[in-house]
Amino acid sequence: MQRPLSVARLATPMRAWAGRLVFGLLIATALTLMLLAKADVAVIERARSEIDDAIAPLLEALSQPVATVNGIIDYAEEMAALRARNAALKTENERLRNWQARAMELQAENSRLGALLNFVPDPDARSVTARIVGDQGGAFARSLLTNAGSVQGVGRGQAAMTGQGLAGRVVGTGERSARVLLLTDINSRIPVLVGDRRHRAVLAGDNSPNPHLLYLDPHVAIAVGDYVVTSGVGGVFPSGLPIGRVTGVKRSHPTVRPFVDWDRLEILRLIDYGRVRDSDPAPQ
Amino acid sequence: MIPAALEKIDRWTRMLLPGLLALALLLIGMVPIRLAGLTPIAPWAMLIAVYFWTVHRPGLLPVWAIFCLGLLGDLMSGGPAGPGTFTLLLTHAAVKAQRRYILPHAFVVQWMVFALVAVMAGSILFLSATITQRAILAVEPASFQVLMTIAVYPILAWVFVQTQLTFLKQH
Repeated sequence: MQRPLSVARLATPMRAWAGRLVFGLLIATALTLMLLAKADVAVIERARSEIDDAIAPLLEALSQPVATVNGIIDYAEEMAALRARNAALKTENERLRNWQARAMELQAENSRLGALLNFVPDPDARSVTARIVGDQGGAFARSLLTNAGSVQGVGRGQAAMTGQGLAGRVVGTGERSARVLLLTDINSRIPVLVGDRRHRAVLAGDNSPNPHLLYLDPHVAIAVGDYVVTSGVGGVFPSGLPIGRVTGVKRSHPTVRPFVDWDRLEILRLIDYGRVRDSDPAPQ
Repeated sequence: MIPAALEKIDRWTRMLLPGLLALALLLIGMVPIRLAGLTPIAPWAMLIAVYFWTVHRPGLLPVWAIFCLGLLGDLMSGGPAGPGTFTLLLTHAAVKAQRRYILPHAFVVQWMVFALVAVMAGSILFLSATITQRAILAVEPASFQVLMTIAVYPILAWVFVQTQLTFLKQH
């Protein structure tokens, strides 16, 4: 403390007390917020989406130079490998064409069988494509900010997908921004089915790149490489969205490597399966 | 009349500069960069700002500004609100109490003291985040974040010193 300040402090003890009072109040507010953190308080969530709305355009502007640099790097890489890439793509295209034919066959068969059984299909999905403008998180959370919001029809609970698979779900929306909780976040819990036998489990994030499976029946056998897809239990997601593959075991829980390439996330498809509506009454 | 008003605006801008600079750092930290795994261990620029300004010019980053920046950072991170705010406030109080012992020393000593502060702040943040989330969090990203923050200190401190020399010369 500088000398003039300590003199002032002696002269005006009131001021020092006021300072301490303000500090105490602010600390108390911070502690209260920490206690309320799990309660999903409406005011806090509202403030969060207001802030997201305000910063999304700023971040979009800021991310332009970064996007340009990324683009130049990609361009250089692509130019270098153009010929090889072209050949590889031709082969892949051929292979995919075969798969497409097979898929169409299966789809036809599926709808025939569905009709035979009077199966109620999932309602058609509507999707919004959004660019990721903010890499939120830090050491303790995994979430992203996208530049589409309630104006574009994005709502809480919608699935965030990439071309590879499920990335997470929308947990908050502003007018022109939406926050996506990644399935690797410690708060993420997604009901899933594992393997060909479709064993039920819950995919739980732990902030590491590879989430793990909980509540798996201890008597069932699952193997490395088994597919993990959403189960549709809980009604948030439809059944069958691809998530990843079982890769190993960590602390006696099987771990899953998601299909999504976390380092190359740029665009997300936010899909409304019509399952969750903010205005809907809670299911009984 | 007008020069007086201009002077007032000028003074206010200078007063707000450390806060605005911290705000800019907060935003820049959120821009998505395609570097593998950087986000979880990105340095905590707010801690550097709070330490630097509390040591050098405590009046320019007052406790309410630290509260606002901390809360904004918490809300923007998508995580629970509170732990970052709480940690920054405690750091401010601790550093302010010791600033007369830190201020006269050379840069390297100030950096070493910052390393100590960062380790303590990192521990408080980790504990309060654990309590808030009610879950066992991984220690590694938090420790790496502390190391990154200590490593980045000289760069940001240089930026702050330049700001101080250029815009905030007069007391």
